[in-house]
Amino acid sequence: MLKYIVRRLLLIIPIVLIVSILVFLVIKMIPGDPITIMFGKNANAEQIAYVKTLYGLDKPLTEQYFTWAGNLLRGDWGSSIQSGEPVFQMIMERMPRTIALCFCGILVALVISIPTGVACARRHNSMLDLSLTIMNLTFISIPGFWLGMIFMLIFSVKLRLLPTSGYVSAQESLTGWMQCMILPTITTAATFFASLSRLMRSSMLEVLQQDYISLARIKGNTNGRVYYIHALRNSLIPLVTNIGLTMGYLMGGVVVIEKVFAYPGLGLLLINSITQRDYPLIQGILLIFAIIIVVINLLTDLAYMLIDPKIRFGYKKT
Amino acid sequence: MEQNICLRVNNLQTSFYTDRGVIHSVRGVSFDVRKGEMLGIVGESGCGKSVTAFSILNQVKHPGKIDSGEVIFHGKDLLKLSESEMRKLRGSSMSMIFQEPLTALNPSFSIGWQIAEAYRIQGEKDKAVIRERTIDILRRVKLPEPELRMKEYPYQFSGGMRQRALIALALACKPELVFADEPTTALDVTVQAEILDLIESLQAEMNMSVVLISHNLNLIGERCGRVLVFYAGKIIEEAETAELFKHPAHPYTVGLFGSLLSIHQDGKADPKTMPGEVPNMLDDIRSCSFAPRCPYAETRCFEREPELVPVGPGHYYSCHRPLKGGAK
Amino acid sequence: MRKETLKRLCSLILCLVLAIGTVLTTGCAKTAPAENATEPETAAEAPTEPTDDTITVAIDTEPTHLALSVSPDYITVWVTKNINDFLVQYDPEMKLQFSVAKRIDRIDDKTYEFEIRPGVLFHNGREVKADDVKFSLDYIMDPNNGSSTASYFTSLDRVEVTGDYTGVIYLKEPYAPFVSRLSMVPIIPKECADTLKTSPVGCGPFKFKAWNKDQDIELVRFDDYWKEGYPKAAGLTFKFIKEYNTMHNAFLAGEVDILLWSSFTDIAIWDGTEGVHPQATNLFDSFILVYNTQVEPFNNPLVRKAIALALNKQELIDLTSQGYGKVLDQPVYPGTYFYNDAASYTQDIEAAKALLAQAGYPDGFTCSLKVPNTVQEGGCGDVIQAQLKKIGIDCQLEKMEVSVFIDAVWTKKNFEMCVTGDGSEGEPDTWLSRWIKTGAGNNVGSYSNPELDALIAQGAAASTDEARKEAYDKAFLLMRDEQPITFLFGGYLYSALQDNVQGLQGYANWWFDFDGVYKTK
Repeated sequence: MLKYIVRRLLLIIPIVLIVSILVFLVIKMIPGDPITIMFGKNANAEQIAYVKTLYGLDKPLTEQYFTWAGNLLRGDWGSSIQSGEPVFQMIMERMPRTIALCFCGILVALVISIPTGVACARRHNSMLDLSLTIMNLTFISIPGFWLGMIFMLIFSVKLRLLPTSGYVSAQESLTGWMQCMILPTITTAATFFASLSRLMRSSMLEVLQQDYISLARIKGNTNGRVYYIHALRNSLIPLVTNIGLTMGYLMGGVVVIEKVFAYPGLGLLLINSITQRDYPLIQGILLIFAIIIVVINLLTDLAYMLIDPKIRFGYKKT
Repeated sequence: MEQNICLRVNNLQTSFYTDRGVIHSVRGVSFDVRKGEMLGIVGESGCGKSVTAFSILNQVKHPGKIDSGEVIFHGKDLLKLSESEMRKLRGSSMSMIFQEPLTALNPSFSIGWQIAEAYRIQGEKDKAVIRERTIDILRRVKLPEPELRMKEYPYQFSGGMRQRALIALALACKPELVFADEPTTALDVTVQAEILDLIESLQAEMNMSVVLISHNLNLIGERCGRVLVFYAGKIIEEAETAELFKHPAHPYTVGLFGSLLSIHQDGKADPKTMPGEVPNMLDDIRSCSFAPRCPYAETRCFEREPELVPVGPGHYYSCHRPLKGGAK
Repeated sequence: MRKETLKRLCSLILCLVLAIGTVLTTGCAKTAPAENATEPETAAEAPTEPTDDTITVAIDTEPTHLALSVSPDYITVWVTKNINDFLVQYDPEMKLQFSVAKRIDRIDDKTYEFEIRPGVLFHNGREVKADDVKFSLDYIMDPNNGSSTASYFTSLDRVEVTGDYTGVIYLKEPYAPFVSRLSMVPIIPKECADTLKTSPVGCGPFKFKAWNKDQDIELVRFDDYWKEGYPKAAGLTFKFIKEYNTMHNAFLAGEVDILLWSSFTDIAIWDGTEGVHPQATNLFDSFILVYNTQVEPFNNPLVRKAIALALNKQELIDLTSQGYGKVLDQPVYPGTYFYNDAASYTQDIEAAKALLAQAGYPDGFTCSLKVPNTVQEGGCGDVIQAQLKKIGIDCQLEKMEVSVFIDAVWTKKNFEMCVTGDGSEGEPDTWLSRWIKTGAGNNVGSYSNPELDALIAQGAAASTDEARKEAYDKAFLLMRDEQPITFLFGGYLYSALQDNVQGLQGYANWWFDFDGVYKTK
């Protein structure tokens, strides 16, 4: 198992390499550059040209790439052109916040989707199944950020229960942190709990047709145990796959949610850095995103191992 | 109910309500299971024999529903019990050995865990005792090295081992009545005999009633004391095994024997297949269900369904034509 | 079977109901304006003693750095104006008043003597001396610091310190608006120059406390501020909320005290909502239409004038800014000293068509119009496109992201017509020397007119206001016929305040003072 993990982690290297090249090229293709933006309307061409040489932006693309990649290998992620801060530091400050948001979002989504999916499967084709299905379909069709704004309107503006935006670190105040996290987390969860719930439902329906479920009942298990112990473990595999696939999508969605809630995570930093064409920062953030997604895929596969013993032990037979 | 009757089924009817129409799988089945006996249920696929067993255990899968009937066990009608009462009754007294062990064993849990669960449900709390009993039952089904087997998962076992494990699982709580639904169909021929021997010996040991369901008449003939012949959702013949084999009364049963390959005959294998097919179960069957294939069919056979009538002691058949002594 | 179809029908109906419901709630998302606009509570007496309040101000962009000496863009100004103080400062009527300087005497055209008041302290406790004035100006002029304020001080020769609190400023050539430019120079201490961008130190009413990236900047009262009784508030926090809707909601939820730059569409909402009110600041800014004079037919002044005459500027205001704006036709506003009535003009479509014909384009022509995708400039693009169709000019409208726009127009000068804007403090030279003069930094249209250049220089150097007005009158008349750029409209910035917040002071050049802000109980 350890060998497997190590092998998967090594895979990060070629992936990151390819991503770095793609990211580098794509950003350079966008019109506009950070120096012109920095100077804004008061620019003059000579000043701009001069500052560009300071940042090495006048050199040919391949040279720029290799300089950046070379520095990266030495652990130097470069500095933001706009603020001068080291990119790595800027990313590390914000990454835990974005990961916390994604993680909490997934957790809340699972907490909602698993029971609703199971409930739908249990009372297959009943009114409950019908209404939950409709609710799910509605949520699948609603764009996440719109939902976020509605929640904000209700809970922050009208009811004044939660803050509209901002962030309080957990060290400062645990309750403050939780209050800031609630709306963005629910919005994140809402963007995909519905499809998870549908998946849980269909997966469980399939599992419930199996003989071992009948046997579990014959043995005398309560309904609760039949669904949540016997059936659930076998139904989770498609769910785990889905979460792994959704993660990439989720990272994109989180960017929007961070903007709406002014949540100071990687997503917000990415938007700002793109607006300002802050190349080192954009490249650094996108690279981190790629690494995070690879790691999450690895974790997904590890999760399979927990759930499915066949994968854990290999297909050995006694 | 008489002392030696374990289970009584009265006019059980079960149908499947599908999009294409209603399939009447079990159309009024009544029989008794005596204590300690091995009762055989034989019939083609789709004749309702497995569905009968599932109905008794209340495990009919959607879109199936038990329409009517009584299942009397321990003085209570099982079909009228609530979910929790049914549950209490089932685990300790009735069980089932499924046809395909790979799907009947939960792939995500170890064999030992699944067997131990049966004990836990029965109320056994002591971990050491549970472990002992699990090892014991695994030993009884002749699984080698039960202490190691306990920790393994179903996919790690071979077919025969799985079926043994399944039997262990079914018998873990010493049930009074066990349904064995085609327990050897999925196995190699060589293993079949072993498994059936095992079931027989365990039955004797634990003094259980076993309902052996199969499409294989030979198998039923070798192991069971009494036989029920199913056709198109009804019992069309019922007799003690020896009697059935000597004097099969219903034309279908006769046909079944005719299509058997038996080594006891004079080496000339000449199986006669029965013409025609099993009736479409979507239709309402008003006449004798076997009439279209019966070589002895008369007009009245197409008009109304025959009742089960006695032919000899403990021997019943449902046919309009009277028996003129001996096989036709 | 029927049961199944019934269920499907039910689900369809439920879906429709839900869909309609969600559509309706979007419509009702904003609070409906009340029938009677509530008057803000009459301002209670401003407290004479400093209060304990922290004022929270919401803005939609985060500054990239806090060195006002380096870039006077509006965001940096808003956040850092109150960390700094200046030799002179505008009052609400845009008249210059002395601030850190006690007096500035014009010795002659090119020489100014200044004296600063004693007892002004920097935030690090040290007293401000004439040395610091020299350093502050030198800092701006040092090319290594990359300050864009330097472009306003091209006439500066050197600063000499003559005493603890006195000094003399020498110019290379006469420059009439020089003293007003001093309002842009924050007085900074040499010892803190290195950290100016991240933790600025000045002598203004508020001290820098903390910068929480992506979140806010916190300032606190400078207790030893030289002006008695100021600042009123104990703390000033600028919160960055980059999504306008979120900012709007945060304000409505009472999380921020001031929403500094409100969209025009929200003004009716602020009027109609209990507990909040809008506050207008009159601006001297302008949106402009810029022509690339290197490209046909925009090298022809007749064409440019035709376009200027064809535009219905009031319609521009109505359609892009909810009617909040003033029509402009000169670099200064009507009613101000330098405004030249003779140089004004109004829409005249017939005259426009005639001019076009005269220029050789009786049937009009096709051209491209580039605009940034902001509400007002982007909106102007749409309206101008529609309006110019009436005289036969077919504009291919290209809306683009601001950075792409700047790259296309400023760096590559790849455009034919474009819409942009700028601010002003009412000083004509600000527009003329930065946008109109040959070779000026913002003269992206490459317009060049020696006669106009001479008038611009004359106006800048003249020693009396009357002499300056004489030159500018001629310049504006020339510009009316030449239309190097066409002034469109400008005039208002609206902020939203909670009813208990008083004392916000806005200025025509987009600057804000927060030192007088306080909360009533």
